[in-house]
Amino acid sequence: MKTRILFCATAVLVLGLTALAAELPGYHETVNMRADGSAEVRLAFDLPAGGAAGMLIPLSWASPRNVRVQGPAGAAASLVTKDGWGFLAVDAPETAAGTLVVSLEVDGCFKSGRPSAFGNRDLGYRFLNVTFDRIGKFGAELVLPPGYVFNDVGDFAPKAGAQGGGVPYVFGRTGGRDVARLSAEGLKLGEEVRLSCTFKSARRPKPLLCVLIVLAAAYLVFFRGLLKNVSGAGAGKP
Amino acid sequence: MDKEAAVPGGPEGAGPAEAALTDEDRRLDELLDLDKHKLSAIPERKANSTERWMKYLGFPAGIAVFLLLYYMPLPAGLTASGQAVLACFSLALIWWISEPVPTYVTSLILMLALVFTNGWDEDHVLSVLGYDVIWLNVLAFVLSSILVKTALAKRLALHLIIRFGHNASKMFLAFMILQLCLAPLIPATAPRAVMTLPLMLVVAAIYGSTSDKSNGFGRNLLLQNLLGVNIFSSGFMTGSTANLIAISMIMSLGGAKVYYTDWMVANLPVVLITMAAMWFIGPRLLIRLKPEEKKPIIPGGIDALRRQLSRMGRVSFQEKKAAAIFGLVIFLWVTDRFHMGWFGFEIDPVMAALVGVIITFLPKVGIIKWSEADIPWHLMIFSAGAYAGGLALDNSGAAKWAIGNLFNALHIVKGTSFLLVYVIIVAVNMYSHMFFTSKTMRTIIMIPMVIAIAQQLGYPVLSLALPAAFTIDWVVSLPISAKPNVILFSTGQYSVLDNLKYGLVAATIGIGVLVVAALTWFRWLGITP
Repeated sequence: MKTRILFCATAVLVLGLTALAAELPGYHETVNMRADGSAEVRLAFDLPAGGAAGMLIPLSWASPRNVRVQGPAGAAASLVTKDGWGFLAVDAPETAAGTLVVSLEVDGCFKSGRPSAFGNRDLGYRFLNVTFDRIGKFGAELVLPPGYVFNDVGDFAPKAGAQGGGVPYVFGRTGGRDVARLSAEGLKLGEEVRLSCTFKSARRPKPLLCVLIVLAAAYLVFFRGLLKNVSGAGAGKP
Repeated sequence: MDKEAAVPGGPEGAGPAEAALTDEDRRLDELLDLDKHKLSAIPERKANSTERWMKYLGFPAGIAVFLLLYYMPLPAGLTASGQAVLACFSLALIWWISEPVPTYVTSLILMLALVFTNGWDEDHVLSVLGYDVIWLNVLAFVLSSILVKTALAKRLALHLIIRFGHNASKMFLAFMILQLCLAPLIPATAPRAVMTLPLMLVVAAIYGSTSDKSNGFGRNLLLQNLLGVNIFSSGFMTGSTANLIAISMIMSLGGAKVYYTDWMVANLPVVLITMAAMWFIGPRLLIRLKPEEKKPIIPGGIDALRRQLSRMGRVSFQEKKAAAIFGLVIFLWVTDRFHMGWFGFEIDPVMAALVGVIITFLPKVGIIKWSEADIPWHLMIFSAGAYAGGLALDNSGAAKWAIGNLFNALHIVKGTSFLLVYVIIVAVNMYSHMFFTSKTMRTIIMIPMVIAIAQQLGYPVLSLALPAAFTIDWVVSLPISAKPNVILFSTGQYSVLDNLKYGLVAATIGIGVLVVAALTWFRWLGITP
């Protein structure tokens, strides 16, 4: 509850300080994680008709670096911070149309040190729409480092409704790497897409395999008495 | 036992008439004294040769399947915890069926395995013992104990048998009609199982089937009631909450309107035909009744039962108290939709049972002491472990992943004939209950999938989604598939394998009837094209 109040207060503060754009037709974010916890993030969004002047895209990552922009001529993006909240400030002339792609590097997507119990590592992702009336089609892909797999999901948003029936994420694989795909339609101002989950190494412990094989073999030997007189009982064998 | 609680007509209540008892009467008293066949006692059952082979091979087979699923490369779309849960649950399923170790030990192993393989965390696994289904189980057995202790269950069962129970078939039919009558009155399935359980136990005992020595009659009776409790719910739109959720989804996502009578006219015949078929097939083909199990196993037959009933005399004060307590609980179950208006809140089935149980144990007012309540704790442990496995399948997304992949593997594409699509949809929905413990969860996952498939293929939403919704309450194949199954399995009268056999046959017949319906009366009603 406390967290929620804090979150709402922050959102209201940021909303008050940010110039609101009407609608972003589409936004897609791909996070390619590395084993050291860093990641290459690729943001792709459709520029609104009529260009953009100081359009603010809220960032889910602290301290991004190496920002590179690809897209319509004249379009530019830079990092700005307002009240501790990171944004990508986008400027594009009226004539610019199409998709703008911004690549950046981030650190600390997850703690790369010693994992917690069962080899699990925590991973959290959150996109909070604090600048647009509506984002038409939102999508994000969290790509794990090679050799890792998703373990379980802790919390997520938006929540599945009884009518809609779905959850906002789906797990899959791309280029041999585990990926969590998040999506939301019509993300309104103040709404968020969030996923907290754990992931771990894809390797399974070998000792368990050996113990269970030995156990099965031992059972067959020590419990063969179960079959005594079975043939004499006249019942069919399985 | 309290002096007050002496059983009228039973060995303790017989008094001076004891000397006049014939041998037949004494044997009947012995048979109907359910205190001698406590559910809480773990019966030693002698396995036949097939069962011994299953025990011998089931243990390594369970481990082999576990290893295969746990160590195979993680399939795309499945989480590591989902894979672990699938592996653990498969092992447990094989062990529950083959019983190399007792079912409750398998459940304990499952709980441990879920935690140790990181399938589900310890807090969640352990908390299952506090779930409403387990509480309802415990409370159900306390309520059942008061009916047994006061001999009210015996009296009611004797009446039932004298009227309908001259042979096993009529007895099964009587219970089926009872369950059919209760289905539209009490939407929750678990209370219906609890209400009729004491009667089942006494009737089974009269036919010679007790928890420590069950026979074909007891197995058939309990399983026919399991089918009745669950499947009759499917005949009515208000038969379960899951039905209502499915209908609201069909209306909101599919834009089709369905009325109460539409549902009943379409699906009640499916239910009745299937249940009639199971009534006929069950005792003849699935669990065959021996000739001696087809009649009450009492020397003197029905006349002896009549004598027994008259020896019980008038309804005692204790019986009246038991009837009042049980009546209060049933009243609260039946009137749940009015609670909000009366009390400002709704008393759910577990709380209603708790009210009855509290009164049962109160000094003076109550009927039994705690030590007299016959609660099979080993079966509560079985239920808790099994439920933990099922919930972990739901929570880890493994169940959803398995069903989704099944649909994908079937390659349903535009141009596939309607009948083939219909059969696949109905079959997948029907059998999917084996992967879920919650009808609501299953509805929320399956119905939107079916609506999407119908829209994608260009078929009317109603033609596929409504028949899929008709299968929601058919949760009949495993003891963990639904709450009443857990309650009935706790009587120890039948095995997991019996349940699986009975349930799968009923589900398969149901699919067959739904297919026939699609070609006939569903067409006339405008459901299928």
